[in-house]
Amino acid sequence: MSHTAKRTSRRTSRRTTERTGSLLWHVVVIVVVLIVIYPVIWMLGTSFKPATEIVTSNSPWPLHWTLHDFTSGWSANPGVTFGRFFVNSLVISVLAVVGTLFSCSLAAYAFSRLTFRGRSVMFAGMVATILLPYHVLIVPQYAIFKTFGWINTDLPLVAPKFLATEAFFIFLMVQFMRGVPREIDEAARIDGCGPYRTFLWVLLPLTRPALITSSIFSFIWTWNDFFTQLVYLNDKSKFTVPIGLSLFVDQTGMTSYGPMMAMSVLALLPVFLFFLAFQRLLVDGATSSGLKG
Amino acid sequence: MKTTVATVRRTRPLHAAAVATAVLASLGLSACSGGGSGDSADGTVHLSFSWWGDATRAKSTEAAIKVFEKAHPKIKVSTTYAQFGPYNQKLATQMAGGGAPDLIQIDWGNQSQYAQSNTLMDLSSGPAKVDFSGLDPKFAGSGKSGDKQVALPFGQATQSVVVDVTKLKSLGVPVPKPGWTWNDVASFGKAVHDKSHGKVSGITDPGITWAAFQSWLDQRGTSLYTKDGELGFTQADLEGFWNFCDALRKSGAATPANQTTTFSNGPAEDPLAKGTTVAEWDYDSIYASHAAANKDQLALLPLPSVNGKTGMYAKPSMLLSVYAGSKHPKEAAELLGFLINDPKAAKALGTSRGMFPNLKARASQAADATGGDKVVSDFEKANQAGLSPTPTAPPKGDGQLITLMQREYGSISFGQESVKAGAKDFMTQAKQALAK
Repeated sequence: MSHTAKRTSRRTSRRTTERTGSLLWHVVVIVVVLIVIYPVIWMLGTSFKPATEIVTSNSPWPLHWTLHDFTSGWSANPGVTFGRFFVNSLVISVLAVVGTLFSCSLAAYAFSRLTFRGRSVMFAGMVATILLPYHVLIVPQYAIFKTFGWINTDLPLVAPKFLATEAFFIFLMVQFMRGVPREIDEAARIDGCGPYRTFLWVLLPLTRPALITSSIFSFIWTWNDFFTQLVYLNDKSKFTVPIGLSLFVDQTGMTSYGPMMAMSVLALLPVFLFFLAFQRLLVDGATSSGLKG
Repeated sequence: MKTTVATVRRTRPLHAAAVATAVLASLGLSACSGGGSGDSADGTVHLSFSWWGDATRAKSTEAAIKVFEKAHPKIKVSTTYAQFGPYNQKLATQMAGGGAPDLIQIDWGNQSQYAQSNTLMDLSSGPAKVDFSGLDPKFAGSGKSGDKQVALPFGQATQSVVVDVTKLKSLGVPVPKPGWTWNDVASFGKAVHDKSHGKVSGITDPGITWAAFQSWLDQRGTSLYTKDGELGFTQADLEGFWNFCDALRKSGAATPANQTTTFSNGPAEDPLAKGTTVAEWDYDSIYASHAAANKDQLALLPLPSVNGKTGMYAKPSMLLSVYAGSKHPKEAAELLGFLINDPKAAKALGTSRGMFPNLKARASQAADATGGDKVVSDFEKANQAGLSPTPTAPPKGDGQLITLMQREYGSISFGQESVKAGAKDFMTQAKQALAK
């Protein structure tokens, strides 16, 4: 009798230590998450604060809720609303994603599957362009686009993406395609596929995880890109979200924190949603490509 | 009234200068084609005009442009603006790539650099001639590079000390009077420190401020730069200034190091706004921002003096230039003349760039001023007579010295370095920066 009682008590004590262990673990994790997420909470809270409360109150949560920051931020710039900036940013980012996927996957296919003269030299050259700092390129690029008459249009921001200038994505896709066994290509060739159809029907579906990664990064990078958009866009009506946000920060004087935070919250939404939608696909893609290795 | 501020504050991003230097040096002048503006068949001239500033300044500037367009129906102006740091990077790219706007707002610190690369037109003669006889000739001279008038000031600012009157009253310390000396600063600061039981300092430590050192030198008959753009002071001069500030800080009269470093973040985050000090060096054009960031009543004082000399001068808070590659220099010059002379422009622009350049228009603007604008214009009027002559434009590399000053004095005030060692480091690095 006593033996069983002992055993049960030992079992419950083990269970309680397990439970306190997991409780402790959760507390630690939640604390870490709170620390990491604090700036976002602060931003969210600040966007609902009245102007006087932002510098005076230490609480991340507003004492008096107001939507004023959103309305004043939305129409802060004369003659143009933030909605315009969102549309502009969205157009540029979506075109950049389309361009990157189209051009980089083709380039990656060529580098990983086709044999042609100078392939390794060209590949090395392509990778080397990753090492070029942006500031070296900006002036020659500006001069070229100026002779094209492309200044103050979206073309300098979008056209290069259709010409596979993003070496990082090509490299990513090449590495991924190299992981796909060549036997699959050969099987396709036996079934009568040429290089184009092999690419379209065999390789492209198998590199889906790499494509999704590329689209997520390409979208976020373009959405957040500031300097290129600043240099090429002059008209207020062509401005993008990052330029619009920067106009709230006045280094020489007052920064309108409230409206800036309100618009930052809105600016984060598309990136957040984009990631949310594609992240599922990313995991999905990684598990379904079971053919590998 | 929300007024944005004209003068570039104590920090000037290094980037802009560095990028501009690299870019201009590597490409030389590839500016051959025009300012990116075309003409319509009906003879309408399209001008482009760019400036830095925020949305509030955009509103007032566009209002002024509308008045100009109404008077000149054959000229259409397209405007663009950005924040100060990025604006200068963009401008450097545009200058090097040959696509800068016809009319450009430039910073005094960049003037020498652009003038040297011949990207700015002469405004005193030739196609882009502007009438600037209504400006104080000494002040207009700030836009000169050699004997070429490459720019004209678009606003005037003067150094000042902003004081928190409310807090001084509650502490029972009298507000210092104009004509105060550096010794008065020390005793005033000590009084504030003692009466507040060490909670409040008398003044934000001026040792990190390049422009405060400039007036200190002027009071002693020297200057930051020689005519050839080399350092105009010796290591002993710098040590003298820093030793004084060091003693101020150690006695509690000036802010401790950790608070002083927040000084460059802007009026909203200054020690003055946080209430840990009652006086702070700044340009009077920033006054509106201080007033907005502070609930207390503020006032402007002239700088502490030596034998009645304050070393204050009329500083161009920003300037206007016509781009050398502009296809319409005549029209661009016309717009420039309007923006610095016309009373209607003065009315539309307000004081967001500092005091209006044309003296007559300034006087009529001052007559209507209220609130913070009135404080600033009264201050300017009271001190106009005692101003030192405006020095020539700072040489290329000036922006780097501003940050170098903050860094070196920072390590002195944190006790990592002696005044002597810091001053020595400063001199060697400053000479390198200017020699580039």
